[in-house]
Amino acid sequence: MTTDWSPQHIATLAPDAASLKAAQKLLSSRNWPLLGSNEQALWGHCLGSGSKPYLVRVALDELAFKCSCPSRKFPCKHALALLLLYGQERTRFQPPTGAPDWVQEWLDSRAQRKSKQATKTASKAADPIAQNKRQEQRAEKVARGVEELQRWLEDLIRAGLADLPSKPYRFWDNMRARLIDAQAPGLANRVQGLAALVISANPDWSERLLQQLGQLYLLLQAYQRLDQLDPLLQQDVRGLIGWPFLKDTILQQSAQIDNWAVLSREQTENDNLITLKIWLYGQQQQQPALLLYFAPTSQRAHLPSGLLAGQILHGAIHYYPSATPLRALLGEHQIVTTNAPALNGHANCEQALRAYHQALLRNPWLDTYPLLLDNVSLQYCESRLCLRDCAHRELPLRASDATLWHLLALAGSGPCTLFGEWDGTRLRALGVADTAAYNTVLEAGL
Amino acid sequence: MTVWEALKQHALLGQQQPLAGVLAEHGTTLEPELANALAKVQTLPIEQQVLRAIALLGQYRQVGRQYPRSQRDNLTEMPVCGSETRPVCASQCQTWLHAWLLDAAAEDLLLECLTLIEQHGQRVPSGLLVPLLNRARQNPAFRKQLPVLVLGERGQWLSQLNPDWHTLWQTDSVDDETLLRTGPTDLREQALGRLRRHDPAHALSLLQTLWPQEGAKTRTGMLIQLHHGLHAGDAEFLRHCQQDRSQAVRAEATRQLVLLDDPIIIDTLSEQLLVFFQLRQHPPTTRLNIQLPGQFDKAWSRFGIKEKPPRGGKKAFWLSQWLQLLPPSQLLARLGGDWETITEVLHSHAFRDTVLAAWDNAAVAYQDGAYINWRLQHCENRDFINLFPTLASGLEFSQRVDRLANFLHGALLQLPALSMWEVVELVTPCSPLPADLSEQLIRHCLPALKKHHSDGDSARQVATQLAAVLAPESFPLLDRLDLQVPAALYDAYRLRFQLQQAFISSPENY
Repeated sequence: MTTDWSPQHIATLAPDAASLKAAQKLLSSRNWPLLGSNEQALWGHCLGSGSKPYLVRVALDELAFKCSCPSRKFPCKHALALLLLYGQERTRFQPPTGAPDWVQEWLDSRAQRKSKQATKTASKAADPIAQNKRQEQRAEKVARGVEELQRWLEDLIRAGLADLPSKPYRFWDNMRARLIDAQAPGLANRVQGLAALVISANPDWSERLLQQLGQLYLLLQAYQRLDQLDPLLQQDVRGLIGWPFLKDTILQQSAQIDNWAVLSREQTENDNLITLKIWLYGQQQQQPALLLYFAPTSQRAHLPSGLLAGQILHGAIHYYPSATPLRALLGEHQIVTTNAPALNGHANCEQALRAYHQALLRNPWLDTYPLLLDNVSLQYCESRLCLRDCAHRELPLRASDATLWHLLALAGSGPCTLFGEWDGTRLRALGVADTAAYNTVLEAGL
Repeated sequence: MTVWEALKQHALLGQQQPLAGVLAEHGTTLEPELANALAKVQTLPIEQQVLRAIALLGQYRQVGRQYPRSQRDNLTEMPVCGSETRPVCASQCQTWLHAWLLDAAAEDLLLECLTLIEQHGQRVPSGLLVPLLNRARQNPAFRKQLPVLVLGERGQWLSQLNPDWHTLWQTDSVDDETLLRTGPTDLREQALGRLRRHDPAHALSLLQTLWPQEGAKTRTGMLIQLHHGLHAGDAEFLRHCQQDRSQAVRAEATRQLVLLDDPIIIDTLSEQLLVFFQLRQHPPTTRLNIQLPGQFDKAWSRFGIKEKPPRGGKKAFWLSQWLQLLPPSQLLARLGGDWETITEVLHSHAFRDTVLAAWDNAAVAYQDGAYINWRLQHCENRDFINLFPTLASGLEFSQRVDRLANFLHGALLQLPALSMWEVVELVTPCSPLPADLSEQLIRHCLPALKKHHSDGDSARQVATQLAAVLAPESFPLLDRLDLQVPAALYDAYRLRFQLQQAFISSPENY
């Protein structure tokens, strides 16, 4: 359960900007003849145009919303306004003397539904024989997909890559669809990535395409010799091809207990899918962890609302099996503090890059790698902003103009600790720590 | 050409030749292990040779990529940002700032919060500098009121780095002379005003050097700033400005000359005006005789008088402009009458409204307190409500407050219901409202507010403006009296009260 109800955090729950703006107009106390809260929920009567007020409820444990208004947006402006009010002035909410019936009934029905679901999941024991059979069938399909993709790549090389920009999108999409049918969505995504690269007409498209083709070919070769690989690398390869990992299985694996500093929280939307990406950093073991959450745009409220940048939580992290463990699931945990985390990063750029290169040797398909650098400062190099360490080694930065200004505002001219994602050529700054605070780098500063 | 480039060329062109040639050409430049690994692929079909070589070399390049140490000649040293001397404001304050930066209707609250932060020797957190600086760039009114110290050393440093921000306000590194020469228009005017206060003669000579290259709008704006430190030495330049090609510049130059009490211009204007604007004694009555010439006199142009009216009759337009050239009290003395007589003669005069409207403008322009007091004393409640917002700026602040307090006191029973906008207009000249006047307003004006039916952005903005004028310490009265005021007004006023309380009650935390 989150304890932070700042406007910026609540804004991430809004289905769109209009809903948030409409919610801000409802913050007047005159619109809310009744406001109440207890440990489980918030509730309120919100006056609308009708004779009866809307009944607005927010469950705090898993952040669920319910409102009697006819809006199709979820959460609606009334629920957002209730949260904003709670964040701004908790004193306006009546002290917890027990929720009214209409709130309690909703909470009870939620609890019932949850327990039913748990029972259903527990009773639905997997049939191991059927499961094995499904796995074998999938393995066959994937193997065929891999072979087909390899032939397709060879055809590309035979015909020459120079001709690719003139190919219709269908050319790429057909291959992508065949890989989806082969139950290899990871490969399908990579083909889509190749298409985007060629269509982008970027001046260095051929250079980057060549690099990507090399990686893809390496992946296909690795899958065809899967049993010869290190067991952890096998898991990486399977994951990249598109074999799913079961969350329950991951959560059953041994956990790494530490104080985890939340170093960034980024939410992106693409094709009605929201991706929430949270980077954590273990303060004792100095290991990064990446939490990834996905939800359709209509269910954004189901994304975890806690875990704000700058917080420290104590708890268990279960890494996905990998030769370079980064992606993880968060187990039992609690927020320890919301103060600036104490961070110990790489002492200089050389050390950081060495760590990246070592990781790359273990897992050649690393997309981006988190770097936490101590004692770095921002400098202009050939009229571009870059990062410089105390040994005067520089790393180029990747950011839009607006982000760069926000980064400069946070970092100033002196040395700071900077966290970012290294993509092999440039660093995308995500957060800056100084002695007083840890701040994330945002596009518009808000 | 490197082996990678050769490989790329091979892949782009789709040459059906083995890689052996390419590799042989570059083999000597490769490390032995890499050369051996590449040699092994040559037994495969050509397409696989290329793909494997790409995979191998791509990975090799990625892992072995090095970044050079800085070369002094391609490095530009970043200016050093000074150490902060002010602490960051408290987290509650940061939350408010964040919310109000997102809400365009909360600009007054935002500015008040920033002012309190400045007064308490604090600064905004670095994370909010970019939106604040952007707001200041986009909104000149906000920029003028932004207390620059709240930006701290980091903000000052940042504004020097960004061309969009670096002339937003005067800083230690940008002196007024530079700002006057290179700054944005409104800041140039402010810089000229400061220079005038400091050394009027030097400021005038600076203005004279810039004068020929400036546009009419800028020239007018600059000329207005001359009223700081206005002295006899300015008369010659002002007379020169009366020949300017811009009507607005000529009018402003004439006004400055009158403000200077230049006898030549005052005599000239009075003599010409009294030709067609006279008080005629016909005992027992007195008449106001207004007879303008039928044709526009081109000589009038040098006083900034325009010939063609935007609408209405020509003569009323000319008369209005003439009457705005002199302070009404000064004209009255030349006419040889008193305000009683004027009240009588204007009572049913055909030009009554034209004359009074022109004098109202002139009284504000020349700070003619005698006229304004006469005018406000002799008007009904409704007229006072309409006139006070316009005329008050011609009075000293204390006079404004007294005048408004007297009005509220005297009009208790007959006060008409006002809209929120009318109240804002009425009290804005007395902002910040003293606590006693604020209480008077809460007791007498707010209960009689007209009902409003909109809760849109503009209504919220008006409510926030009214809340920004009222004295925050008077807020509890609203609850004590249990007044039913618009919700937006109540909430904005409560936030102001809480903001003030937060800083007052525990300043060490803020």
